[in-house]
Amino acid sequence: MTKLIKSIIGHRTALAGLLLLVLVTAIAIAAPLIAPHPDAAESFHIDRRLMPPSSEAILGTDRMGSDIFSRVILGARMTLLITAAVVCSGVIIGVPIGLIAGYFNTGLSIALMGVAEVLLAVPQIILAIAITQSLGPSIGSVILALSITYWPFWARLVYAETRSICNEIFVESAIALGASSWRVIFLHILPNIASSIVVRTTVAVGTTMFASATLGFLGLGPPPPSPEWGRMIAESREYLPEAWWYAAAPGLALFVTVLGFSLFGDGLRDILDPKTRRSG
Amino acid sequence: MNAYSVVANRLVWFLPTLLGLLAVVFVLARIVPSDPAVLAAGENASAEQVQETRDRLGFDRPLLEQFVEYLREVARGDLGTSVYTQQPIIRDLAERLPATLELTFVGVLAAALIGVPLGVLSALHRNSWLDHMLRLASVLLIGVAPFWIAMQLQMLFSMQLGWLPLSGRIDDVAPEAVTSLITIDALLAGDLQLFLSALRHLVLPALTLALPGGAVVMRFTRTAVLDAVTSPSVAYQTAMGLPRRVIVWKYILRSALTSTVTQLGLVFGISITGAVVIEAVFEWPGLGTYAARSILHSDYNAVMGVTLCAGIVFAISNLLVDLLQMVIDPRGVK
Amino acid sequence: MTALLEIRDLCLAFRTDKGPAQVLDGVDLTVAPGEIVGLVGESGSGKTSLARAILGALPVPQAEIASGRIRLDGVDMLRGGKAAESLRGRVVTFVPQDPLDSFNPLFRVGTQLADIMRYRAPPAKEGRFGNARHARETAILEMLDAVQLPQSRALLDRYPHQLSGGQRQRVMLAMALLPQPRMIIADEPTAALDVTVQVQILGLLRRIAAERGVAILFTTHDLGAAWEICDRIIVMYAGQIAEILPRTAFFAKSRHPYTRMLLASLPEPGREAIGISGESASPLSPPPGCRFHPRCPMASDICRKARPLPSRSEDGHLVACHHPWAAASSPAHV
Ligand SMILES: Nc1ncnc2c1ncn2[C@@H]1O[C@H](COP(=O)(O)OP(=O)(O)OP(=O)(O)O)[C@@H](O)[C@H]1O
Ligand code: SF4
Ligand SMILES: [Mg+2]
Repeated sequence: MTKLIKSIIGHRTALAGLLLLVLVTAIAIAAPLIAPHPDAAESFHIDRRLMPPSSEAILGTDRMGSDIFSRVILGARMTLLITAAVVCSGVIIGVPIGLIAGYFNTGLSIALMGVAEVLLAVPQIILAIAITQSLGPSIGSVILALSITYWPFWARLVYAETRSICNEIFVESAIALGASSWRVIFLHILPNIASSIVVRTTVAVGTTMFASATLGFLGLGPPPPSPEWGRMIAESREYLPEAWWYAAAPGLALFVTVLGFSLFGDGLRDILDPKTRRSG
Repeated sequence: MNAYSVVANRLVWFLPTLLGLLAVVFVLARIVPSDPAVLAAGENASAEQVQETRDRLGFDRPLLEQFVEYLREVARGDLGTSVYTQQPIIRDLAERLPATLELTFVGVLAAALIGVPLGVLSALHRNSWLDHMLRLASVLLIGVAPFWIAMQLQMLFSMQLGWLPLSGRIDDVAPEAVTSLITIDALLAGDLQLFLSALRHLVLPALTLALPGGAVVMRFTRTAVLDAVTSPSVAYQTAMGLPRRVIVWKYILRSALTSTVTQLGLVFGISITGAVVIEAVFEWPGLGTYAARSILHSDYNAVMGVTLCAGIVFAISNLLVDLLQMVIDPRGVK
Repeated sequence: MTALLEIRDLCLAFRTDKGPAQVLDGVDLTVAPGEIVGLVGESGSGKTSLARAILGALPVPQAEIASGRIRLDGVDMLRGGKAAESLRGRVVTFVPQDPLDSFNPLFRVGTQLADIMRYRAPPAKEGRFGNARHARETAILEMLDAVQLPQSRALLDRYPHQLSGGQRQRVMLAMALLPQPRMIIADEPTAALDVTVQVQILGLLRRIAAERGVAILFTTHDLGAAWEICDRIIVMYAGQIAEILPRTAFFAKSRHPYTRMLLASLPEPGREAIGISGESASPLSPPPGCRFHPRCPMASDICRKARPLPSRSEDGHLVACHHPWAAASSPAHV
């Protein structure tokens, strides 16, 4: 573990990503403290509508007269919360299903992986739109919709890796020595595929953020006036190009966050999987 | 594996997947809280009319029975009628699929044309400032949300510079539909003006697909070229003094393309998916906008139809990638 | 007689994660026009690296030539720029160690032959209609005949993986001969083949060299194979030259302990080949003094401290050892 931390610190890309992530997370946690006008973020101020950036509102105000800077900061919480919840449930559902289906490899496996393949064959965003639409716009339904949509990615990866590991000698010999199934799964298989899971997960984070912002953009995310980045960007379209600052802030916030994860993910993949190392 | 077994293998999986797909969407559509019969009967329908619609469309029969009935209709080529457009869904799809395909093809083509040469350059000048710039650009592009790119492009090129149209697929009347791909139909009709207009409408949405797509393609091409550069066959050709340009643009490029083609297939799939939001921004009359609108209006049959259509397009594109891969690599698919 | 190839004090290291690997250390050798020279050493002794250094095909960022000089036909191959480049694949050609990997798997054999012919061979005599392409093809078919590949036209349409190992190696030989070189570097040309084919290929190599007056630098770990065809043998251990033997001294007159052990390990009627005990020296931390001392039965203190200087007798026999065997009493049985 300390070795991993050391190599992350020694790896420029991973370190840059990590720093961005720490920054974004810190902002998200401390949002109510940092936001200059936390109370003004979700209320209507007719006299302050669509003001360009100024000393009062450094990123300008939106169509409701709310301070965009405060909204973007508070929005970080929402984005990170949704992403964390979706990625966690994706791992919690997908990894065990992949492990069990891969290890036991029975009729049940075919059924489970069949479901996963079917879900992967639907265009993800259409599936997610359909689910959020049936559940009504809220944070909860976005999380549920994206979790249902994205768990098969982990299941498929873990299934494939488990199958190939099961054919390797050391697992066969562990089975021959009479180790129980669960022991083999947790002590022999899981540690060997952990790095693939980690790499897959960092990739998934960016995808999930885009997907949740897309739902917001299409009007299916958390309802207004919650400060969701995708919805803020969508709202701004009516006021372009005059209110150029309107879409700029949430767009950049989303960009920086996704960038942090993808840099960190790239670095982590280099470190964990030297076979694909290509940065040097 | 030879070509036949690849096709056979894909086909074996194709039908069950499609069936599962329909089942998922069907169930999803029927567990919505709102009553489908009320929606189908129209806004001002009386209680009797709603009941009559329910009976006619069989909404109170068991789910499985309804599903089997639906499949029977599908097998006859009937996807039902859209509540929203009041047209047979198959006709809606036939109108909209070409729009999406045209956009996606142009986008993926552009992604390849941008990504492949830059990926090769980046690999050949590994660790030069060019390489660093290109890699930075690709990381940045992959990190930007497609709808945001779309909006920035719109703001710059149509709102401020006024060079390109803001949205839509065409200004005037569409040319006589032969392929339903407007650019090609315009050329077939010999109408250059119309062709250029269609092309101008394509630029921004296609670029929205091509920028992140090209960045992904560039990354994979770079990795593949780096692998190829260090291969024994390149060492041999270098030792034999073959000109560098022949080694790179003939031999290495082809080796790199095997993995790039797979990547292009993925980009194509992602682009079809991404169509929903990009079409929304550019008001592109394709499958994406149709899907979004059908979902928002609880137009179930239309949703099912779109899903089916997307599933088929997806499967066909996977098959094409497999076949293309076999053409490139004579040793066969692993 | 002036040497065709002259290497002086060549030192080569690879940068690795564990520090520099000193793969060649002070290598001195010459090859005269038309001469067949064998370079014998265990796996990892640096044979391929030496060949690739001459041919300018070392892996780019890792390899570092610390000192030394390589002259071919009077041209400096390390710093000669364009002049050196134009010799590679023309005046000196290459037969690689692993023919399967050295072909590009994605192109037909014919294409790869044609490119060598097109870019490296001297212009073929134009056919009656001035068709250069046709003339090239004729030249290729004649050459394939010369390396005893019958029905070669069908072979040109195949992919490398569809050829047998012997066929691949013959095609490689043809590719090395097409440019009408004055020297061929053959890196273990028979390593991947079974014994009967090995004998055929070696015979072919010697015959062609004699017929065309081509010099050959032939690397192998098999003393027996070297003895079959070579005029001179250079024995290398861990990147250093241990002994250079003229043909007459092959067996009975070898003086270096390592060569003696190699000879003793050769398979004999009724006895399999036996290995030499001990690990080959690691290029990462080569032993000081004589690199062979940890495995040498004759090693003494001075061997551990000082590198033995080569001493040369008038018949061209060279040995680098502090305690060489006396020039053998028994006559050579050649
Ligand atoms: N690209 C490289 N990077 C680092 N070390 C290398 C590289 N290529 C070769 N080496 C090392 O250089 C040494 C000599 O390798 P070389 O291939 O020249 O040996 P060889 O005599 O041809 O052996 P073989 O009989 O196995 O072909 C070996 O120790 C090898 O590990
Ligand atoms: S120098 Fe010494 S160690 Fe080296 S070969 Fe001669 S006797 Fe053996
Ligand atoms: Mg070798």
